[in-house]
Amino acid sequence: MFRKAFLLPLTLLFVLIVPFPAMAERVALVIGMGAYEHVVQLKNTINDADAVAAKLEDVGFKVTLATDKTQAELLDIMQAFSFQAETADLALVYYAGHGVEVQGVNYLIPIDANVKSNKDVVRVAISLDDVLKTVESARKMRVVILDSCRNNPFGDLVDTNVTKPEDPSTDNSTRSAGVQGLAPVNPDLGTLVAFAAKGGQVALDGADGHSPYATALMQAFTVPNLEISLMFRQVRDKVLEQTHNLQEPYTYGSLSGTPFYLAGSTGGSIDVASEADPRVAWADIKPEQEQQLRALADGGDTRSMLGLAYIRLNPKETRYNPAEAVEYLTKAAAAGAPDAQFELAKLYEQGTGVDPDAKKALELYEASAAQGFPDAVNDLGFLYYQGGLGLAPDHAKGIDLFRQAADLRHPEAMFNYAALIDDGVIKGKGPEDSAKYLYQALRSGSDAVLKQLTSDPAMFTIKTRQALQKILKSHNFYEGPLDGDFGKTTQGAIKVAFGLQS
Amino acid sequence: MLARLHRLMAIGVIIAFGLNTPANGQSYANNPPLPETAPATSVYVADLYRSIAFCRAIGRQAYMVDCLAERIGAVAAKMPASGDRADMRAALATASRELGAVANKYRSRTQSPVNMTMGGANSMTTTRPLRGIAPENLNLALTAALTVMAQTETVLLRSAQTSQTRALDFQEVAGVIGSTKVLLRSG
Repeated sequence: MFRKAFLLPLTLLFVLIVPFPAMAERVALVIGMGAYEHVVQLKNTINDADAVAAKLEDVGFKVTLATDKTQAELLDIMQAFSFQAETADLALVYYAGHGVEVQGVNYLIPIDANVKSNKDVVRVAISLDDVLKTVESARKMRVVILDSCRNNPFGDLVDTNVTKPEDPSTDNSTRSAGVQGLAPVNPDLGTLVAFAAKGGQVALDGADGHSPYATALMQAFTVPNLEISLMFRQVRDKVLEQTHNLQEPYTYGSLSGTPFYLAGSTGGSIDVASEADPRVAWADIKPEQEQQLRALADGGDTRSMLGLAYIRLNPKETRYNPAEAVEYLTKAAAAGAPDAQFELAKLYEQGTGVDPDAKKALELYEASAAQGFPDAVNDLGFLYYQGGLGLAPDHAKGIDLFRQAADLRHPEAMFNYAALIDDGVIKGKGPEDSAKYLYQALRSGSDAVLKQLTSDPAMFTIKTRQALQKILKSHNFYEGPLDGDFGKTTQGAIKVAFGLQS
Repeated sequence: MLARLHRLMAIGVIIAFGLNTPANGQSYANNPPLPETAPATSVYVADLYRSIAFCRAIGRQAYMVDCLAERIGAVAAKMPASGDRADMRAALATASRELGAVANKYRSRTQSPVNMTMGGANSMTTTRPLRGIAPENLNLALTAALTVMAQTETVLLRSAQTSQTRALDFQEVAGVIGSTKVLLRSG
């Protein structure tokens, strides 16, 4: 046991400098429903889906296109897509079709939906929550775009519990037919839900084969160097302009602190999303977009403040200015942004741009963790478990925090929790549990986890290693014996499960 | 990968060549004992965790053995030399001395000893320059160092069996020395 203990840190020093191939897989599920069997058919949705899928493929997405599917077919497709999304940096769902809100819950309507009442909707439709679940495992960013608040196709059969807009400009040349609109949603941090029209408004069907929203999206998808948050703002402006302010797209939730450029960046890297270090990724933003970020930051947008701070934390940048980064982060942290609180905590811990201050760092970690920001919950677990920033080691509290962060699918926390289970310090958990967390940690894409498992698997007991082989086998990643030997075959399976090509 | 490297950089361990006069093989066991008002064992445990993390963050395998020798010795030096934790201090001081001897035996004749320092709220600096192991001796040095660590863990666990009042403390320190796991900060 002690032998491994000493070898591990030494081995780690070697493996840290061996790069694995960068992965920045982006996957999209594009759904179009038009040929409805029991309600009014939609004319342009299939066109929209086909065209959006093609545009996304053009900019490097791996696209699953699902048009005119029944509920059962769509559920199968979503399940397969969810598995794909586990190893993707960005998972995006685009849906064009009927959508309806029933008592606060949004539903997408497959072509075979036959609805006579509210209860039927729940039974035959697919809830937005189900759609969010298909993307929730994506590693960095999750986007769901609903070009669907086009009408309530069921008329009086369904009590949508939605107030009619004051000016229901719902002429029948649109896809709208009376009461419409989807309910506001509150997705997790790092998940963005974009609606073609904000609550109470209708989404127009369009006169030229595509909806105004789809048209604006398709144009924006292919603009290089356009950061995703700014892209959605451009789409909104475009749709407002095209519809003479009849339709205002709206987004709910928040994007993660990682910048994404859907059409790539010309600033030196083909795919900025592959850049794991946000300081480098944000620095690739074009000067005019930085101006936009500044304007948004001035207006209180904390993600823009975070982006501007990251740029100023990149030592290779002429804009390197840690003290200014601290200012941006302080403002965002004061506004309650948990990701900014976490980043600011790190600066106070490291003494970057500010004098080291253990108390302040700890307060910020606590504040961020209190909002459920997984990075902070894990690091706080680390600080409690091992002691740090003035804390004495408190294993019980550390373990509890690791568990909480692991439940939030934080990769390092899942690894830490697995490690402590394997050490036998967590009552009621055994090798199968440890292996389950290790597998999930692998799937969620932490380089550190992959390296630990491939450089020194012997740090885990043979029973945990066997249990992990069993899980890998059940997912068809591994075909060898369950012997706990992490030789070439198992290591290969681990890498494939992580998302690297075999 | 890059994130990991950046994190290492962010930890900010700085290698300073030849800043202090080398005191190769200096033993903390010779330091004067501290009074019995020394802090709780948890403070030493946290120190040990941080010390091991510090040595790992150096990023140079050749200096790992002497870094652990120096850091474990520094923790031992803070412990009381009398009372019911004297055995704990003695075990760590012995480990430090023996690891130092390993580093000295297999040291490189060409690499200069270096001081290490880490900034931030958990700042840490070595009290003497560390000796690098010659590349051709690295495996031998690691094997010898493993033996030292194994013996130290055994000694601590034995002390835990015989200590009426500090059994859990000894076990905890042994747990740090013998831990097989590296816990990860957020990437």
